[in-house]
Amino acid sequence: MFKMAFRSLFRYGKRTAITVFAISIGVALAIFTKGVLIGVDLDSTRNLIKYETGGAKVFPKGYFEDMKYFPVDKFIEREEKEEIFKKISELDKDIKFTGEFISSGEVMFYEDPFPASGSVKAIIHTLPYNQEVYEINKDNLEGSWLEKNSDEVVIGSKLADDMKAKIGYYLTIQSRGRDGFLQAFDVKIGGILNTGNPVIDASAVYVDMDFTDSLFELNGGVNSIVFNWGNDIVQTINQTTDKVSIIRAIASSLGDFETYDWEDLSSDLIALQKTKDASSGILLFFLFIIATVGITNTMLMAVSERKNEIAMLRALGYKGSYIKSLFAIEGGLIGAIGAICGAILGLLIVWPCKVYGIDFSSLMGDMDIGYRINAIMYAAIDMKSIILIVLFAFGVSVLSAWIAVRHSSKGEISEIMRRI
Amino acid sequence: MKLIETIELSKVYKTVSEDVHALTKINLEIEEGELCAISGPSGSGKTTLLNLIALLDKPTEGDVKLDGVLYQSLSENQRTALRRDQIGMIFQSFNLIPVLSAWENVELALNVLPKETLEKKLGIKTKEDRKKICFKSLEEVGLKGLENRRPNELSGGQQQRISIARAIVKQPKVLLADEPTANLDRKNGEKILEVIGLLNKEKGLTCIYSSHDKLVLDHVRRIIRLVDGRVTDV
Repeated sequence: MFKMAFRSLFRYGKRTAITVFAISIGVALAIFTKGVLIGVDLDSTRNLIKYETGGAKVFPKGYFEDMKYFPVDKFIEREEKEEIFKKISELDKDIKFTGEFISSGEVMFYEDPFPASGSVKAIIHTLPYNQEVYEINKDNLEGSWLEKNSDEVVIGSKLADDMKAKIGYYLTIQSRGRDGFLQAFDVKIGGILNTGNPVIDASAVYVDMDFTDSLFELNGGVNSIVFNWGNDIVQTINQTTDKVSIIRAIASSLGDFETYDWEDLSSDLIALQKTKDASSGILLFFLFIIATVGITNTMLMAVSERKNEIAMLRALGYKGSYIKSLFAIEGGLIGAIGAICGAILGLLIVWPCKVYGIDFSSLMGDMDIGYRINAIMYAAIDMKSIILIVLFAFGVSVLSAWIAVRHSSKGEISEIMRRI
Repeated sequence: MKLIETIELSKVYKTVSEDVHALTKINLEIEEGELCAISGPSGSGKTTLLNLIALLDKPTEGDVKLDGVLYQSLSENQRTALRRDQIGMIFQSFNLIPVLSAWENVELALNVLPKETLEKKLGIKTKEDRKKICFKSLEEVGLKGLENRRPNELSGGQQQRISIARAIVKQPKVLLADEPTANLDRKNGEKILEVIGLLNKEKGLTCIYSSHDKLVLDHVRRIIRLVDGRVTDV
């Protein structure tokens, strides 16, 4: 049966080549599309966890609901914070943590050395200079990071671009301290941070917690504690449930605190990803419908050309199931060759997109699409989805051949012969 | 000895506008070892009759008896098995598989036989035996030396001879040939008839043609004439 099916591929060489080509293109496109979408998701999640949410955060009760307004009236006090740090250290040494105070504010800049005077809205991140939760390193930082009790700040690269700011320039920050009083102070730009996370790059100003403790009257208090774990993003994601349950248990045992993991903290992004998944699912569905119709049509034509063979085989005593299997194997072989060629082609397309990325800056400009990525999108090579796409193409080919031959082998043999 | 008997055999094709009576109450008897032809003008029902005997179609009424077995009493699987084991069929358009060689086309008829039939009836135990018997069958129809050729490398007459080899390799009780010379020139047609005649003479194989070709009719010992689905002369 295999021999016959295999030889039939070459008997109808042109048809086989066209079908293989069509399947290959479909599979390669599906792998490319899926690779870019997964890459964007992964990059976005990575940038979110690395620079915004960490793996989880603990808030004073009621803070989370108002988080988008950056409330400054709900605090985790110094003693509470230190007790949480102590307990976490005792229970799980893999979990890194830091306190932070986040408030909304305005950055004012003045002509000379700036090209013009003005102000921009910003988010003021008050952090200990020696924090290890957010990933700040020489790859994403120009200049230097915060220093203890220093008035040097680090600002996002997009924010710096907007102001035409350079390292060493002075700014005035106006923000709210504990319970909402307004405070203004001068700082010097010590570093410019380019994270690839547009939210951070466009609005973040990092200041040292020791420097602002008295300015904001924090008294060692913070409005959130951020946690992180694992050596890379995959570990962080995979260990979320375990680590968060530890953090949540400790936090709730020590006071009226609420714990949220990175998914809870990025509901906007998750919603966006779900919408994207649904729309890309529809896109892929239509792609596959077109592929299925194309393959079925080709197989129907192939089968109708060979009705006399079908009739002869049945006249010889071959059962319908044998004949259907014969054509299904042929369809499967075409599908397998097409899917494998498509997978190779898809990988050849996705690989440079993974290494060098696709630059959409001319298309997107400053447009905010909600993802935590900049204009360069990096694709991912996801073997699971590649295998699924290959198997799907193979399955569709087998099924198409089966459906086509099922119709043609129905009825009495003399009837099939009359239809030839 | 009576091999085939048709009993009040009728076939009606239903179309949208009318019912076409292809065969009406055919009663026939064909003896074992006979060489006969079903003849008649186009549309007289000769192919329909042959198809009903070959179990390629089901009658509207009546029945066919082959070697004492009534077709109507058989299940679909039993019909398939009877056709597979006892009936050899030759088609007007040869119906060979182009991607297989001559002997592989012949082998198709053996591949479907159960192991028991292969061993007991044909003495085939190994793959080598199977190949030998296919080669022998091709030799019987005069195709020695062409066993590995593909159909498109052979003439129409040679292709028809492959289909005869395929039909006889399983040693059927009856060989049914539907217009076997229709696609052949006279010379090749004569050769085909000669081969079938020899099989009938030397092996006692019952052969039934469906044809209106004078060449065929001159070659058989008995002609069953059909007109408008009825037997007019036996």
